[in-house]
Amino acid sequence: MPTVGLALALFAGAFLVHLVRWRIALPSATARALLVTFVFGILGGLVFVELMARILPGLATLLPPEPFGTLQALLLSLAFAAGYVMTYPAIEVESPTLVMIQAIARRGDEGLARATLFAQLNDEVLVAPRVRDLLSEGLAVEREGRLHLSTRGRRLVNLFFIWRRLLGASAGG
Amino acid sequence: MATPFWALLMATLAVAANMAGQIMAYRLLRAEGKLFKSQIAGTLLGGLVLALLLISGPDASLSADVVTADALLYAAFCYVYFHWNNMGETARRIRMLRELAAAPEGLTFEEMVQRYSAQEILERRLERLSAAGQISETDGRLVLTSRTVLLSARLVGLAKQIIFGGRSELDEHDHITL
Repeated sequence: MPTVGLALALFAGAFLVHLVRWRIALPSATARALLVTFVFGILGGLVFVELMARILPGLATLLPPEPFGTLQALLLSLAFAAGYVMTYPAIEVESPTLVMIQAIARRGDEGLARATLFAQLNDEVLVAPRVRDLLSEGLAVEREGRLHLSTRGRRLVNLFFIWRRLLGASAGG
Repeated sequence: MATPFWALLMATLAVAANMAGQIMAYRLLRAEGKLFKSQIAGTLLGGLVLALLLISGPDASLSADVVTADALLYAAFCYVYFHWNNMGETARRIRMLRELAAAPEGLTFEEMVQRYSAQEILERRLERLSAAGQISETDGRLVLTSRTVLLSARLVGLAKQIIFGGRSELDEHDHITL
């Protein structure tokens, strides 16, 4: 399985770089840092593997024999990375759904009072951190105490507008 | 022509079929939960297209490795696409960006909260969990009725432990005893 093997190895290498970097110090703009880490980690990994294959001929037999095979492996590892990048926000920030479900599960048959949930998961817990994320990721800017969309933020929101218009969907959120 | 070229072309066609199928299904469905159902429809259609192309495509000599890579590539796309769709529907940051887009003069934090409060966030999610049969409510008390989402929560907790050493942003809030 040279194609799948190479894809998994490239993804694993980039994931290891991500893990070490995050354990040392959490980047401030994590989404951007994550993208850069995976794209450059995978591309760098591929260059490393190709160079090693020239030094160690035995390694070349483990790699895809055709250039398109290498391209397929590269795309597959980037697709794994994209999957991880999409999952990452749920790991990094506390998902209200998952927090609620765990809190409800902990109370067993007795159940959790709706009022307790609403009192504890307030705006300071659920809204303020996400506003700070928008600022740190450069998606919004603050001017004279007011939040505005940045150019990057506008591009992202336009992408979602186009997509939801294509679906014929409502605002969502 | 090299075999992986055809495999890449087949994966691309399967992805296109998935997206087209999902959009059509979303537009046709009227029922509650149509986003999820349309995603299933798109995934199945794309998967069917990929299977048919792999069986009867121009190159019958594709190796098991190339076919597996293609199937994984398609599966990874489905996963990313599923999240993309859900982000547009439920992500708090995307919703806030939309609120900012609708306010050319900008918003203060208080104005943002008026438009998208913790109360609304919780109400919407409780409604979804209830509609999906994950929880039920009796006399203002919420009880778990299915463990599917709880399993996801536990997996996310495990990933948190690996990547952040178990740190949680809720640790900053002393009043939370949930």
